Amino acid sequence: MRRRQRVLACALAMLGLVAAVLAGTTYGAVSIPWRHLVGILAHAAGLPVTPDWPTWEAAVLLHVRLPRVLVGLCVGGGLALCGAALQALFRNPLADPGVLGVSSGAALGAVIALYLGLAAHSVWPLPILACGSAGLTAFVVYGIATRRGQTPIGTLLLAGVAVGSLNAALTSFVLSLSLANFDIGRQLILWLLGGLDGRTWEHVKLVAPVTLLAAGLIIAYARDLDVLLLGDVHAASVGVDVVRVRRVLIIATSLVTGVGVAVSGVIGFVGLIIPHILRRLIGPHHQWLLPLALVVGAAFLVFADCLARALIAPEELRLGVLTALIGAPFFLFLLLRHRREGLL
Amino acid sequence: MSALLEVSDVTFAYQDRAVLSQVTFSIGAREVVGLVGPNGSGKSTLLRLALGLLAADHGELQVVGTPIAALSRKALACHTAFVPQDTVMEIAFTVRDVVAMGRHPHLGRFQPETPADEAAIQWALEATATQALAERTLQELSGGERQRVILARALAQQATILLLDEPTANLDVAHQLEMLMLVQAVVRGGRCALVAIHDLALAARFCDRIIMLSEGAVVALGTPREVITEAHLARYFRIQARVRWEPELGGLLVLPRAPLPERGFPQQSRYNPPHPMALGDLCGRYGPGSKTTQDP
Repeated sequence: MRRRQRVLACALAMLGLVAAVLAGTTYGAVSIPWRHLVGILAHAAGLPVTPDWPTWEAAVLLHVRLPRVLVGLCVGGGLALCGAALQALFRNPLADPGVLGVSSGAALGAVIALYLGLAAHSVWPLPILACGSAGLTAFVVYGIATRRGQTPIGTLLLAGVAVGSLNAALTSFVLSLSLANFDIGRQLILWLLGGLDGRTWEHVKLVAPVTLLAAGLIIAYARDLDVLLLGDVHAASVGVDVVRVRRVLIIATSLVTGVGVAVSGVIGFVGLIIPHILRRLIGPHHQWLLPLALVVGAAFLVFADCLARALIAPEELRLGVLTALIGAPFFLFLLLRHRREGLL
Repeated sequence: MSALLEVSDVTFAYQDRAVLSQVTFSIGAREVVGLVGPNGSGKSTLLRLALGLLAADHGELQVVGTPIAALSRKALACHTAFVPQDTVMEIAFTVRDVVAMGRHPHLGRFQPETPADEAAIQWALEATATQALAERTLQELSGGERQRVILARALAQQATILLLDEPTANLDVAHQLEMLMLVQAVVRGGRCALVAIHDLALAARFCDRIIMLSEGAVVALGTPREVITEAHLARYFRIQARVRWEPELGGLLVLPRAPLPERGFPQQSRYNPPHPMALGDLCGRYGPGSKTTQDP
């Protein structure tokens, strides 16, 4: 029965992914008919197709919609996958990619890049600074929590919360400095609210390889994550090198999170919602959960982006605001259910 | 008799605090060996060394003739399996899933379960009478059932050495007996077990030999009758106890009566007066009705 459910879930997830890509590319201020979509893509791929669409459609699709959708797929999939992995790693169902302070670290780096005006000249300084400070945060948090080669999970979580708060405070500080400059202040706030607007192929080139490589690495540890849920000693007793697995997974999830925040701003709760829904549907096995989280998270974020564009059209709702509006009540629901089940 | 687990001259310290010193013993096939000693005597540390979680500062541990230090984590896990005092799992794996985790050391990263794995899992479920629970989740089970499942997980690992750390500490008496009888039955089939245990009566009932640790050293090693004696309990556990050999039961009766004062503490103080029962018959002058507590 489980098996049928899983196969069904996989099929639905792939269907959802295709639907999300279609919706994300065709829907917008101007609609592009999906016949044209196929033609434009085939033409761009060098297939012999005679163009029967207006050239602006090709331009909008190839330079605006497609990078936007691809970045959305990578960020959504990456966040959901990291959430699933971190919940197992910390043996805490409420963990998410923000838990180690990595997201807030990336945000701080990005805000500094914007404030100093570095981001105005090229698309690269912002993501690079964001990734750098995300990595630095992960390193500092892990360093603080490690003593004599041991990294207790409780200390790691506390260090993550503490360093995360420091990052948030510094971000607010930069924000308050820039209040006098309306333009920069506006940019900062827009970025902090998270969104996929104005993403380019440069962003895709940054986020896609990192996300896919790290995702492959994380999925390779699926079975170790299953065993880690029983506890460190259990895991070690069945042959898991707990210290190494934890280090590898923290580096991989920090990379994905850092790069995700670097290209799309602060988008919360995806890593919390998706794994929980999936666990309900297909069970807790990471061999299924992790790949599905990647696919479903990707589809979810692209759909959410469409919704953010549609809700208050012609204005756009910030994507980070939308995911928080969906995610925070969901988080509360989880908390209440946990309390009812006596787990908290 | 060739030893399955051999501990020779093992010394271990956490940073500056010495925990084990010159521990030597070996365990053969079909043997249940109890590990007793007061809190902090090094029982858990010894199990952790045997699991390869810690490395000995000096001396060597061998499993089935190979030094632990020479084995990878996975190779070691094919020889030693572990049952802790309690297991908490927040995410709802079924009993079968948990037992299947015992196959982890035998499987490659992406390798699916083979018929041999399936057979090992079924055997472990049957040996612990947990087949009926197979589709329930770990959280739904009672403490006794959960502990049986964890034992099944260790059995599915098909390791020759079972290491158990207080496996009965959270169980009621019936489940304590059930658990240890299971361990005994499995060990009789050709494995061995090292069980850290606080309950001296249970240790005497189920262990073929007992190792008594005190302050990191082996202070007694032998049959329950040789190790669990009134003198040893008074000296190393600081308790006053009655121990009687019951010939018709073929077992020991252990009746703990009262704690003795800690060494190094003043024997009598206003805030920590000696327990009257503890000292009643050892030192009559502290007994009930004695006059030493009256003011002059």
